[in-house]
Amino acid sequence: MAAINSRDLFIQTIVPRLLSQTYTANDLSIKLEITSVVVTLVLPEELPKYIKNFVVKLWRTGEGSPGTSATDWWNQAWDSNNMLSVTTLSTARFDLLNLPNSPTKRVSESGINYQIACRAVDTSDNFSSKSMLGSILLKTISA
Amino acid sequence: MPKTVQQIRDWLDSPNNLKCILADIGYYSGSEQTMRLSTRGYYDGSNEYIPIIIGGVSFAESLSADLTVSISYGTLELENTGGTYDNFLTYIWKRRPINLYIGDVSWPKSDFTLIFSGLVENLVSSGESNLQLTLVDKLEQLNESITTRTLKDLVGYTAQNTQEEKLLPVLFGEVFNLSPILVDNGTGFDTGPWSASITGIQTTSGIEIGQSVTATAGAGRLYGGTASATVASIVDGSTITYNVPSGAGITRPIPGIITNLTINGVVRAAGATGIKVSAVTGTGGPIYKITDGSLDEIVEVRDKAAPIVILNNRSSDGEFTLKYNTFGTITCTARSRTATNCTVPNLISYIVKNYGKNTLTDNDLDLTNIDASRLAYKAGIYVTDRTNILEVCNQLARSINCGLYYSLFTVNSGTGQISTGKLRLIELKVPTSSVGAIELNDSLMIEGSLQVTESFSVKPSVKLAYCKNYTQQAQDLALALHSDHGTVFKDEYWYVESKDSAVVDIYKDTGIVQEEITHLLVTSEAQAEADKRLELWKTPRQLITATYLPHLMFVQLGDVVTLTSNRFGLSSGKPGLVYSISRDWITGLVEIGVLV
Repeated sequence: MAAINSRDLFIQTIVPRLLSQTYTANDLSIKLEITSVVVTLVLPEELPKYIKNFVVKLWRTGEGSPGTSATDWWNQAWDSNNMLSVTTLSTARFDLLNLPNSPTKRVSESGINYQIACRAVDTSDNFSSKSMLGSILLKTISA
Repeated sequence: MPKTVQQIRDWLDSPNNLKCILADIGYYSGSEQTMRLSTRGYYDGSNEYIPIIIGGVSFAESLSADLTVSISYGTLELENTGGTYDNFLTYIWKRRPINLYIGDVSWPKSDFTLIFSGLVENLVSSGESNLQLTLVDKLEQLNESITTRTLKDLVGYTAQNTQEEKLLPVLFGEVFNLSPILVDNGTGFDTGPWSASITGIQTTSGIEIGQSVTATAGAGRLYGGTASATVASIVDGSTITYNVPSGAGITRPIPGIITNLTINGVVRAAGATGIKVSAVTGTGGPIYKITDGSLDEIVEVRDKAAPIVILNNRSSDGEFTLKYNTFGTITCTARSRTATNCTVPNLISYIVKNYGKNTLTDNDLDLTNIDASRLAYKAGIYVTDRTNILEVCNQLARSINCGLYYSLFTVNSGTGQISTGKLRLIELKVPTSSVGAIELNDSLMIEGSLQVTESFSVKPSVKLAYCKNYTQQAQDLALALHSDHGTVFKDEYWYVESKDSAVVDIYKDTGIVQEEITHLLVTSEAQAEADKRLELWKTPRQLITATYLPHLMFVQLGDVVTLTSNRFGLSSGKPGLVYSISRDWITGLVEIGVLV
């Protein structure tokens, strides 16, 4: 049960307190399972009780930009042709068949890069101010 | 059955009444005994009453505008010519019960009406031929420290803090950001080694002490990180214990289901209820005590005002164990009882039923006869010193503009309902006309006794302090905290204000007002309370007192009455709140002060 005094309510409901990576996941792992990119969050042993869940975004950035983005792209304008989003408490599964195969392909010989960003959400729907970032490059198997 | 109010009034009016006061008084002389005294000779069928009560039997009660607590006093004078009853001075009277009854000597005792139920404070002699018993109301029994236990009274805590004489605090309701006290230095932070049990194995046959244990985490976990857990003992056919050493990155086992339990390379099958980790023990951080009692919830623990994770929530003991090393001041928000039990009447009820030598029971309490919205306001108070029970209860009552009062006598309304002396809340509120209100008019008044005894200042604005921050933190806050948090942790109180600008102008007031401290928690409730107080005090109020005939003997503090007189603008009747009463049971006269 939440607090009943107004100060704690103020902290919990008005001021976002998810201000740093402190309250995001510790780490994340990314792997391909058949046609899905699976992002598994590595969480702290005990989550603060005001964390409700995590939102994980996937952004297909295409060929020619391998590696994880150096900047936090969380607020990048939404591109439904190349972005997917999942809300989860542990694992985010992105089925790449939900993205169109043109003009950017899902996979290519030189490699299609997929960026991953994750932020925590508190019980008042405030987002943490920084993202945990990662990426995966999907290539066809060369002959 | 005691006479009804109407029967008593008729009897007091009758010229032929033989008025008699009976007193049943407890005292100690080798054992607890009862003394029976009266104003006239009386025999109740099995006990003789000694007729030595002389003079008036009176008792005065009153409210105050600032609702400070006051225990009412009275005296009972006894005749002691020739020192016949000098031996009374050798008895112990303090805090013994005294019940006074009024009736006619011709009545059986069961017809007498209880007019005072209180306690004896002491017995003194002011002259050769008399003795005086000082009487107090039952609030006196709440006049003792709410907490006396100290750190050294705790049993089973190791490496205990050296401040042994430090009082153990007590929490009632919810409070924000209190400072819990360190009661145990702990045996180290959660760095291991640990031991735990594994239950639910289909068979422990073939398992030997020292063999390695591994498993896949489910809801529970053998341990975190990379360790080498080993079997410590085989408890029975389905249970073993195991040890986990300390080391870098190794963390505590977590109770719950695990899967793929493998011992010495052999996967173990589960029994019907699954294989579980339980009974985890190991090193623990310092223990902080919030209250000397149990808790409903530890809302949040903070280090330098930033929320932190704790190792164990020991709510049933009112404490918690830290998991990691600290960086600054440890504070927390906690609640002693469920939210619905944090209302002022419920908190007062809990305190008087559970604290002190003379605890009350539900039969002693009538705390619901006030405005319904005030009944629901939530509150909390954290006591860290030897404040007495009465003061704590009164501070809570004052938060909803009520006074605490112990009604003194029995009233038989004639409808079969008999109310006995109970602890009550009396609400200082705007008197409004109500059907059936008792009428105080000139025909019941002793001529010439009506007077305005007090005029209260108009208050054009009311400012209430609420939601106390029990640990003010202006500096040394965690860097990650948002700047807006500074105010939340820095200010001792938050404030609400209610103001009537028109009244400010009329009375040429500055509009600046001293805050009134409350223990309320919720902004909307504090605002509603401020609005109610403004409504009461933004118009001129007077206390009008007069002496009345015995008909009004049973008026009680807090009753709403209609005051009618040809003076002071009362000719068409005005609703008022009974603010003070002084009764003389021998003459039957009663002086009543009414707030209009």
